[in-house]
Amino acid sequence: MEPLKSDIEIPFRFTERPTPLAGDLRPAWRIGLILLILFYSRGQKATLQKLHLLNSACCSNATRQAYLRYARGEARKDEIISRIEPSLNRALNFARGEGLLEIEKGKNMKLTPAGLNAARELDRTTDCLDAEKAFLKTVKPFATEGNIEELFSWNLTI
Amino acid sequence: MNLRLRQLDLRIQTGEGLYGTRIKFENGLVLLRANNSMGKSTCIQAIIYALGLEKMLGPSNSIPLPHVMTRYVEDGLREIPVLESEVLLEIENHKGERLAIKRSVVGERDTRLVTTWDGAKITNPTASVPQRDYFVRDPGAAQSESGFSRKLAEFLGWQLPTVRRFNGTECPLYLEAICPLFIVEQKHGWSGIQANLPTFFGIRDMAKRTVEFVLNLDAARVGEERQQIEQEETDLRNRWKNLLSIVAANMRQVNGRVTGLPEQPSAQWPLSVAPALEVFQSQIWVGIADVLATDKGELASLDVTPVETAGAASGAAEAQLNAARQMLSQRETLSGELLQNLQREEYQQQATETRLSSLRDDLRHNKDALKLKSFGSNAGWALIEHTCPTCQQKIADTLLPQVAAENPMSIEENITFIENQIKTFEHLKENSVTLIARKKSELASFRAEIGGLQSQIRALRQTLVAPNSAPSVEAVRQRLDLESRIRSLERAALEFEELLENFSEIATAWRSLVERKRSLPSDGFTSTDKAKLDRLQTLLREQLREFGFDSLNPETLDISRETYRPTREGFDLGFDLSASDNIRTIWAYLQGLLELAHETPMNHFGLLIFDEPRQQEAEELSFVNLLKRAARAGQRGQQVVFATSEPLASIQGMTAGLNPQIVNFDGRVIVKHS
Repeated sequence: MEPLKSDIEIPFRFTERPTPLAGDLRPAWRIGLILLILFYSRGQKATLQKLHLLNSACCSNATRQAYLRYARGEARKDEIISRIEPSLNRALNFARGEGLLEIEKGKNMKLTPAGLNAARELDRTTDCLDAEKAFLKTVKPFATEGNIEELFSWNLTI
Repeated sequence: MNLRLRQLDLRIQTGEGLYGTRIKFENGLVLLRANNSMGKSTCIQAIIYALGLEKMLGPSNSIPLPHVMTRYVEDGLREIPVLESEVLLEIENHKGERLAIKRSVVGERDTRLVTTWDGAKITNPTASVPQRDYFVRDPGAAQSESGFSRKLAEFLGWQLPTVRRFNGTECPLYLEAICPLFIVEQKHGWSGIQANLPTFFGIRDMAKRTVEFVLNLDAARVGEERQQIEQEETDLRNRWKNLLSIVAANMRQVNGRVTGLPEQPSAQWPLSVAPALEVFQSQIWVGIADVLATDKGELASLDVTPVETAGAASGAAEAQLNAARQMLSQRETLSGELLQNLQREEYQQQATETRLSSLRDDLRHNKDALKLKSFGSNAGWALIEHTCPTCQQKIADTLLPQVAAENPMSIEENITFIENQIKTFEHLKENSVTLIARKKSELASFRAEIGGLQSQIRALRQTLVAPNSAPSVEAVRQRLDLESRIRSLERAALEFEELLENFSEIATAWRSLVERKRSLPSDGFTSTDKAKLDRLQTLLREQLREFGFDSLNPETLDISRETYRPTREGFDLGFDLSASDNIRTIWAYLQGLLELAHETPMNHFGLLIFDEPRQQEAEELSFVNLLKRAARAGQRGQQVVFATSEPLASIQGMTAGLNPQIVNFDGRVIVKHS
């Protein structure tokens, strides 16, 4: 026991190392996604629940495919898991702080002219959020507030 | 590759006589001057209309001309209804050939028809020149023999490239898509470079394709060639893979495998180390030639001795049966272990695969985040500087709760971190793929061996119960077995030899593909392309300095190699610019293309039309410099047409010494014919 004790009784210190972070948890990434979701929404505005749903649908290739299958009527509702992510709310706050979006009638998030400008620019920029853009473009006709509401209320009943 | 305007006639027939206007165009700078809403833009729109390019003003099928051409003419305070109206335009090409165009606006004639004369019919109405009607606006105008777009392209000596559409079909690059680089109309044209792009045609990368065509870049051809090569590469890879699996299947039948054949097509053929066929025997891999030699030797030695009788064999058979049973149970245990092992490995591989796919997702997210970071910093977002946009406090670069936020890596570090992980996992995956393949073939051999042992046991049993005088079943089985094994091994070796021919054929094709690929410029641009883009960049910066561009330092602007547009640090200029600098950029870019077209072979009209270039009140100084620069077009045999509402005196002052052609209208442009 004694030698072991002397082995650990040496001075030691901790160095804080930066931790890795998932790319979609970077504010810039998520704000970019928000801009695109709103850009591809009717009237450049969307409810919070639509934002949450499309945000979670955009999350990975698998979730995107699942949502597309559902939109084509090839998947059941329970194959879509919509998550309410606190990180999205934080990103929305940041975006609002940057003056990119505003809250309309306490209900809808809407792009401001600056936000619309940025979104348009982003839409034109190649090699950035390409998979997400393609996805949003494809689901645009389907992702109406009505359809979203239906998915959400179903999710809430289980 | 040239188009000059020579004369424009607008003719409007009313109940009170003929109204209209006539403008003759010379080379060099032409200024159409009239006060606002007096009909300048009508003239520009009429030129677009006569050339059948109205789709560049929008998808609508209605006539893109104001009421003076379609409904009523204003004369003093009176409004006189239009009975008939038409636009006549005469143009000239690089060979000095004239083309006269007449298109009806209001009247009996179908507005989709354009009448043309292959000669100067408008400046010289008595000329006798061939006349022909073409149609515009209908689908097919660019391709069909009697389509006007096609006629116009021929007149210009252009070969319109074929481009892909979003719906997967192909179409020619329409003139309407190209012309926003030559004609800027007043209403929407000044919101950006190529603002009037007819996006409703659904052409992929339309902005890029058009600039590529106008600059006559090799990049498009290089890109196509590269795509072609990639396609062929995939084909060859697939054929190689198929061959490999045929070889593997053949060898499996004899418990064998091939070693030394690369997984991917090889340009080097024959291989420096010839591929070898091996057979799994008593737990080791043995070369097929050795196996055949031993088997044949054994068979030969059996052949020279007569088949034992059951009685003679029974003593040895007893012992052999025991040995075989022992061997069988040992092999069964081993193969059971191997199977478990294999399943574990397969499960491991699946897990690695899942991990890899989520890592790749994350890598893409991170790379996008990096791009967005520089996007946001260009747009001046506070949080890119890790500052809260609302309270200006320091924040960590994360969407996790700020209180709990540890110190996250920078995105760049994070990307390296993920890339390293991907490398590790890919290595793991490769290992486990080889391991699984090896285990599978070992398992197959074990099973075959077990089969063999089982039939040996059966034969030995029969030998033991058979009458003494009968031939030993085991001895017969042994011979038959040996014979059939030799046959199938020989067949497998022969088939392999034949398949090698196919491998050699693919390798040859692969080699020539590799050479073709190597001959392509690595970044997709030939040196001519690069020279053109560099020169365009120089012209752009030079003009921006002259025009007093001050939102950014012009030296920091580049012509993007991706979009061929002016960019700064890889981003379109867009909202970085003040409104007037946006206009200056359009001037500089479009005029840069025009000037470049004189220096190097390009597909440019050699003509530039600006409707009200002095938008957003760009300062007088910069407008003067624009005029100065534009006036040089005359020396180059090009034509620049500006429609403007600047007062005449100020225009004359600004263009003193430049010697432009000023077409001045004191009142309305469209007046009663005297």
